[in-house]
Amino acid sequence: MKFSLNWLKELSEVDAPAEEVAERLTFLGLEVEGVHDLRSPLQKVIVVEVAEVQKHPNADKLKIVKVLDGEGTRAIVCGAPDVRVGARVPLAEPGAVVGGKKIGVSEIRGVSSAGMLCSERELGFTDEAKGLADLPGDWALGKRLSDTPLADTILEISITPNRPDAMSHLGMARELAAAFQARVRKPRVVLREDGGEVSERAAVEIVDQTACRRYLARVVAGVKVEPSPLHVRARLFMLGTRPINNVVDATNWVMLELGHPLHAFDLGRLGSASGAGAKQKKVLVRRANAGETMKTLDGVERALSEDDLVIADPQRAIALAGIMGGEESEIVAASGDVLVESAYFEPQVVYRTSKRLGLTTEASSRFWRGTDMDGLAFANDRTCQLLSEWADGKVCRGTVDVYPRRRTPVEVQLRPKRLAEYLGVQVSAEDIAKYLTSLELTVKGRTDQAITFGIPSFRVDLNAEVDLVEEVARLEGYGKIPERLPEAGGSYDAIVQQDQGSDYSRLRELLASQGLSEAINYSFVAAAEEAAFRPDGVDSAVALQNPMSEDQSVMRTSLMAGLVKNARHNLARQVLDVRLFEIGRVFHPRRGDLSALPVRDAALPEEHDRLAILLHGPASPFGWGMPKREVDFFDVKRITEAIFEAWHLQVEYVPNELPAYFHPKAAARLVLHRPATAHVGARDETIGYVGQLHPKVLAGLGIDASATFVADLDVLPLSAEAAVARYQPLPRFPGIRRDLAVIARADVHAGDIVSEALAEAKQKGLTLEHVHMFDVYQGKPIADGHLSLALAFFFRHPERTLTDEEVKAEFDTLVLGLKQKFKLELREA
Amino acid sequence: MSDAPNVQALQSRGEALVHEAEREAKRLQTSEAAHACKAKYLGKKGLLADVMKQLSALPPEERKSVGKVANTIKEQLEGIFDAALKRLEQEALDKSLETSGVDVTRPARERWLGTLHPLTRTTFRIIEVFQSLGFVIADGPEIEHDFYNFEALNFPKDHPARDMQDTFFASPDVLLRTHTSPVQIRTMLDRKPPVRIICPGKVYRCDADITHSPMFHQVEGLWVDQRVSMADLKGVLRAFAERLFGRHTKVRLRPSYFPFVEPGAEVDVTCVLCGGKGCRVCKQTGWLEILGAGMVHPNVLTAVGYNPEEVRGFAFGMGVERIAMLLHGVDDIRLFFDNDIRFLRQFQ
Repeated sequence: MKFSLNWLKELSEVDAPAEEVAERLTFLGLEVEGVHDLRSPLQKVIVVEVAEVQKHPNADKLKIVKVLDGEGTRAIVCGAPDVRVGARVPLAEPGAVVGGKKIGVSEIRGVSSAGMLCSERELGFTDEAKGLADLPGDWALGKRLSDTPLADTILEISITPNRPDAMSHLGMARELAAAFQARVRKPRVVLREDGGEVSERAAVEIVDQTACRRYLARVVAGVKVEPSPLHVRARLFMLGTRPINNVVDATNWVMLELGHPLHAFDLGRLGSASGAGAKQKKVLVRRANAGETMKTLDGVERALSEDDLVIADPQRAIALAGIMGGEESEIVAASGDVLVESAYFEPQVVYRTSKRLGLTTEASSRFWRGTDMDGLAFANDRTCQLLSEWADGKVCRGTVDVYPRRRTPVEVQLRPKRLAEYLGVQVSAEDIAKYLTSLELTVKGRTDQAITFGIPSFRVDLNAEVDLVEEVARLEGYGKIPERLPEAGGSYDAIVQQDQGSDYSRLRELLASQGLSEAINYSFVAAAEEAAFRPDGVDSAVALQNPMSEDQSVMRTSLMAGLVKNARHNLARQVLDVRLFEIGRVFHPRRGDLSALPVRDAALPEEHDRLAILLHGPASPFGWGMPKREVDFFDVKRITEAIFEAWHLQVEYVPNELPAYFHPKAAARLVLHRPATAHVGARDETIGYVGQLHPKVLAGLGIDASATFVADLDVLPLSAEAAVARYQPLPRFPGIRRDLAVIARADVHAGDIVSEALAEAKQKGLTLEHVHMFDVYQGKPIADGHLSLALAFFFRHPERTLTDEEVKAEFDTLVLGLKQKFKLELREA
Repeated sequence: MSDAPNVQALQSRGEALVHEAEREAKRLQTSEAAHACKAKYLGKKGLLADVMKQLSALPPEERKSVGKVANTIKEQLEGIFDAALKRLEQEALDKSLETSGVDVTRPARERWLGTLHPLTRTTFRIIEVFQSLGFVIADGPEIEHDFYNFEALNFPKDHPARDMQDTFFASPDVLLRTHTSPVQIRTMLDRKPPVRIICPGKVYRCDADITHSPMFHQVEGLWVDQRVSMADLKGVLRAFAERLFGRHTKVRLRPSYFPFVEPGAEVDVTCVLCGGKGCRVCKQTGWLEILGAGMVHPNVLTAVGYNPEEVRGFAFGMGVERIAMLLHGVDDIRLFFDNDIRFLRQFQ
């Protein structure tokens, strides 16, 4: 919100430079985000009087204006349509900067002009561009405008939602005064009530007393609707409020000054209870009827709901309570009698309607934060005073004040000891009282332990002891609180607690060591991306009601779409070796029986942490002495194997039951064999997939599916540290290796040969330790549909050195079995 | 010593042999030739043996001195050839080293270098500091119920405080968490005080420009115990700032408002770039706002079943992107989520 430094100084006895004011307010929690000096540009603009106007000899639309500057006359070329002799107008002297342009002595069509006569807009007073600014007749000639009330400094202050009282110049002046321990100057209001009896003109009925706790109306008769004086329009304009007319301006002025939103109705256009034309008009505060509509001031026809609170006359709604007036009762040039409303509407009521209609106004944003229920009579009086001053209005005697249940004054106790415990610093009872009374709290009582404070009605945020602790801390200054470390360790319980949840740091480091870079993608994706990579068994996704864009409208059910998008991004930028991983959440709508869950959790989707890997492009970095080939299945398998090895997990690669986004023949399901524990028997669990993406999910994306390999797996088994390794004694006797070269049909699985050999050896009690495949070849001279495999068999006896004869016998037995089972043909090794 | 003719003859012949051998050894080019030459002098049928043969009939009294002289000559000859062999070995090694070198300016054999995301690294750095202060990690869902994200945190329904955090909704009561504070609520509902947790994670708000992302990361901390004060909060934050940004980093608290704490504060640290002198990054103020903090609001403690008269706590929270941007000089938040490998590789 914008604040005028001039106004703050009028309302308080503080007279400090803008920078100091900004600093103090910021350290009170009223953060000054900007200081705009509108004063300096006016230093070279002076007050002059128009003495004579002549036609320009060489231009129809220009005039030569002779002006008096208090010392002499100057000739200025001017294009304004009507320049009135005798008017006091602003002259920008050579050297002044007006509207970003530097003014000089210039020749305009052969006539010299020593400066420029300015409009209100050119000087930034208002957006009025027509004619010259009309300055007050009593301002001395030659006076610099920087020395007039039009020269101001605007402070941009961010006000937190708990401080509606600070949304006004008086409220801000109060804070400032407290900071400087100075006094506040509240405006003095004296009314001459010479407009007749208000009771003859207006009656008010609050139908819904929970939504409107108080409604106060006054009537000002015979107002002349016209533009406000220049200083009023300029101040409003500089504070971001467009001047309308003197009546609307008066309500806006009082809102900016005192914080209470006011509304002026054209009394003549309101209906009455006793029929059209009756002198006494009737105002009702009620909920809207079903199907009711009204046209608000902005010209929009609004469909109302029964939750909305309206101001109505007996015939129709005339305003959306606390939000915006209606077009049919707005103040127009012909208005004569004005009803001034100041009311208290319940914050939640205004908030709901305002949000439902998407209509936030200066008024609604004050009402929904909470206004000063006991301050609205003063605000109304102040408005009436301005209407009589600015618009010649005659204020009717009395007020219509419907206030069925008076607000109970709030009192709050503060224990200085508790305050010290909270802040870690002692503040004396005297200082506490000094600080809080400077904010207009009152001391209502005192004991050894506590002080009881009365809370002023404008401080709706102060209801509990801790609220006062904060007020004292603000005024004492957070800087006075010492820095201390909590006593060593705190309690034993705090120290022995364990992490809940994992940061997967070891997994991330492992993947980085495998040459993968970590990606972080948005959790929301486009609906089509979600659908393309949706895991089996998930039948929908969580959709956002208010996404920022269609591309971010659905919560991801898998990580794959993000990495594919990243691959596209990189390939489009000539980064051809894409090696990425991501660890993050996926979201699956909850299914099955929810009755066992706490009701709030049942409403939430399931969340799973997953790991996804994507490899695309060359298998080795660009460089000399490197194999030149594209990545394949076994490159990504190397990475998953590295993970499973690091966590001592036994995982099988099963070539079936794959999700639709995988290549049906170049991918595997990862089945984790969990050993039996004390509680659960051994079991197998699918934890993910690895392999080539299906070409159809990459179709049209410009990514070659045959060079794109991914893994997608559950990281839960990897969240805990790997089981603590158990030491195995080192072998004491040498092992012996025998190699086997065979030709196998291409559909024989190498993994099956290995596991068969091991199973056979185990069954027969052989000394086979492990089998390692070390070569594979397909092509001439091997027949089509076949391939050549080379396997190394390692034998070792735990207690003695094996003889060649023993190993030969075992090896021959194994080979014979494998040959028969897999229809292998032996090759010369 | 007797001047026997045999001894004299041996002496002079032997010296001649040694002289000859020395000359020959100098010209040797290969170790094969050296061995052959050595055999020529010292072999069973070699030149030394020839000389010895010619001294056939030695009287017994001369044998001793002749043997002595012969031994000396033999040793001298062996020394000559051993030295020659050593020289030749060295020459051969020198030669082979000379021809077997590598071009050390050629690039290394390439290896893929992976990297953790800069946001992950920054999060880890933050977490490590707090872990060393005894905080443990706590975790919770990213899609949350209104109760945990707002209501229990003292954001009542239809309250303007909710406008401080533009929220994505999945349904009227289900939303993307706007901060990691709901983890505090879940943790406190789950266990009795004391609680000392750090909650890292993704959070979501409808906002996007060069410093705001609709998804970003936070780390929040919570310490609830019997005797915790705002002075402790300041101490912990100061320790954090000095560990993360370097010694002598200062911390400054300004009053502010977050519904779940009171007193509430915005926390500034001395500018990481200029050290507080004032620069473009800190807009000449010398300070950077990086945290929000405060004493846990009694309404929050009550909402989780704690007694605010018995325990107090402090909480703080920070945006990881903001800190990563400051630490690394990244000027557009969107770079973190493009996952451009050229960007990621800068954070090895």
